[in-house]
Amino acid sequence: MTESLNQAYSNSPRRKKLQIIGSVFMAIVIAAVMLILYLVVSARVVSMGRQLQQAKDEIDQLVYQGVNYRNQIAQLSRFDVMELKAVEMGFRAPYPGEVFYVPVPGYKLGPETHVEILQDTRPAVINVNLLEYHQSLIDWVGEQLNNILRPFEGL
Amino acid sequence: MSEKITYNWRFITIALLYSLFGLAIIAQMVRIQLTVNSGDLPSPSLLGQWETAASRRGLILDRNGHLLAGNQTAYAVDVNFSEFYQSGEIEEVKMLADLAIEVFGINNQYLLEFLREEPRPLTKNITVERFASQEDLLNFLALVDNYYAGIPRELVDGEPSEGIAISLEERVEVIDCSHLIRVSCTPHLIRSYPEKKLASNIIGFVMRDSKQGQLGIEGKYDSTLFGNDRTLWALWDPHKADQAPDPDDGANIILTIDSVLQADVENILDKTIQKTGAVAGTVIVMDPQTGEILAMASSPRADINQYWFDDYLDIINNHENVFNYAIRSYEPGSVVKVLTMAAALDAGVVEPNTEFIDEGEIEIGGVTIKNWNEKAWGPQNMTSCMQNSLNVCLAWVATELESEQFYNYFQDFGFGQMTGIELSGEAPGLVKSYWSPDYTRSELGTNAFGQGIEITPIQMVKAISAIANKGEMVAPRIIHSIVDDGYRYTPPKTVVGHPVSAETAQTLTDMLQESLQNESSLALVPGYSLAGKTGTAEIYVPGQGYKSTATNTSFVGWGPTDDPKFLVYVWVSKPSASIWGSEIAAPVFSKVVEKLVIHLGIPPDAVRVALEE
Repeated sequence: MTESLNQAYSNSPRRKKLQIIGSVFMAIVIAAVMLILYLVVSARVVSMGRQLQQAKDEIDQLVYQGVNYRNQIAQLSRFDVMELKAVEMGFRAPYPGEVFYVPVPGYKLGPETHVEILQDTRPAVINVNLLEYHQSLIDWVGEQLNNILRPFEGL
Repeated sequence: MSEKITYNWRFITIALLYSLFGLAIIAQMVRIQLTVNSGDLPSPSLLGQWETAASRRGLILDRNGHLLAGNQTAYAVDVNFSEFYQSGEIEEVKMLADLAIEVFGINNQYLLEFLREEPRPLTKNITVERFASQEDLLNFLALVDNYYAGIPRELVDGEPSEGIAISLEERVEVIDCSHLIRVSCTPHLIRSYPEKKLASNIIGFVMRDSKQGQLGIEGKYDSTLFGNDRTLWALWDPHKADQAPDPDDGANIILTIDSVLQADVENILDKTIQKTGAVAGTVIVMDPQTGEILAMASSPRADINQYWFDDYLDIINNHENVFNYAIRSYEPGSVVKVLTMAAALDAGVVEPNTEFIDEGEIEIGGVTIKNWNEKAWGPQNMTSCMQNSLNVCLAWVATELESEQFYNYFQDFGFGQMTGIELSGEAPGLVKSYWSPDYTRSELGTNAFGQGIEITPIQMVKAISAIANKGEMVAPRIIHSIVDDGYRYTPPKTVVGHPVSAETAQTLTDMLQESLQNESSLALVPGYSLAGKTGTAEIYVPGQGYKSTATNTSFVGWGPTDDPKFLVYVWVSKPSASIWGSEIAAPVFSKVVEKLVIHLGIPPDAVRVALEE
């Protein structure tokens, strides 16, 4: 009896047409949502791209500026310039007989301090490689379900 | 039944509307694809541009981090002349051309003819200067801006003023020419040598156009230093932002040179050359225990920022192709006696006290060899032979060794082979093989005192390091480290042989120390134990033979003799004030050592021994 009622309901022409229209609208809504998502992502990509381009331009500018600053410092600290300044200030180079060596008991010359990265060292690498990046949504749901059902195991 | 028909009509209407809308979209897409003229599409030049990553050529630094070779920003300045013509602004064209010629000092004949030509040809973009400096470009732009603003140029003594005052900030900021529609300036990096002539013979230079390193470190390590200016077509589409070129900087090179010491040594050498009327010279200072070159002065030098200047053409591109005399071969003369004696002592054919009666001449292979003063010196021992620099005695010593043993020792000392120092253009020298057809036995005698043999100063330094360093011969090196992308590579000290024993080295050092003191040499520095030997070599002139009026004067010395910290080699070529190494090269050694001991913090022997105790 119930079966025949259901069959009669679903086979009704009006219901059938409404189902079709509903499906079409559903498809349109899904497509629209996807398009909106695409637009949002695309807009963000464009924005990031512009920022990247600007950053690269700024890096270039900074490279040129850095090079120019270093060059200016080198020009200002040139050996002949520094020597001239020292002479103007009344200094002169000493002769061997003018140098006094004073022994300091207990003092030992320490080893050279290296500030560069040595050849056998490696910079630390921050490895962002989380499990979540490789886990599908279905796997995640399954894992969550397992977590929920674990207390009931063995019952 | 009628209700059902009404529903159908509504559904059909909605379906038609959707269909029409969809069809309209499709039709529009098809229409755009089929009807748009490709000529109406934006030019590819509007979709992107050629971009060059600002890649830096690696720096060259001295051992204390002082910059010897760096980079600086230069600009390619372009003027679009054709657009001026199109707008009929002939006056502006003339103004721009005149200012460019004046400010950038254009002397390229072709460009000058174009800029001065009336009427000017309709060429589009002209690069008026490829390497405009920051100062010149700022000056040019200020004058152009003043012209447009109607401000007349200031006159100084009836002439246009030189230029504008430029602040430090303006010197470093990247110049933007975008406010001038028809003038563009593109920054790029060029090589800069802030110390100008200092150590120029070591550094070499980079060609401005090809960016190729020439001579010295720049030539030898061109591919290491090279900053790859990656140029590619970069789209303005932000989706393609990651396609813009990334810079590829060259590696930095740290030299073993100490620029303060280098400047002092260059200064001493320059003054000597000027005072003695010499034509060229070199001084090498090396740590004999490590092989590190602390200073390598060579004269004449050039300001390598302006290597193309006429003044420097003869220095850089001379007929002998010598820019660094430290790696050029020559007949060194009596300094080679140190190695002849070392070989003889090591082979056991003589001892310091071996007696030799000097009769003033000796005949070897049909050639008579005489002393420098052509006199007989009578009974001598080996120390006095060295002290008096007796050619006859050393030629006899060589005959005691015989050719095979003598030349085997010379080969062990590295003569006739390049030392491998990291400089472009090193000469291998010339030592004949005793079995070669053109070898004559007389050459054994002349080679023993450094004539008829070609050796570079750097080869001598390497060979003598075996004597100074207790028999251990080290390879000279001028590269302290190479730093690339944060990693540092430091070449290790390289021992290249033990041509003589430690005992021989010590014995010879003692002999040379004694002979310097006995002759009250001008090379001595009070308070310091030094060993050394002078050298005077006649120069061979093709067609005229050896001329005693033109000599190469040399000196090699090291100290402190018990714990050597420095080895100094001096060569002064063709001095006119005196022809003797003892009068020209020995004082240079002493002046260099006076600077060295202070700079390296080496106390006098008495103080050093007291401090060590």
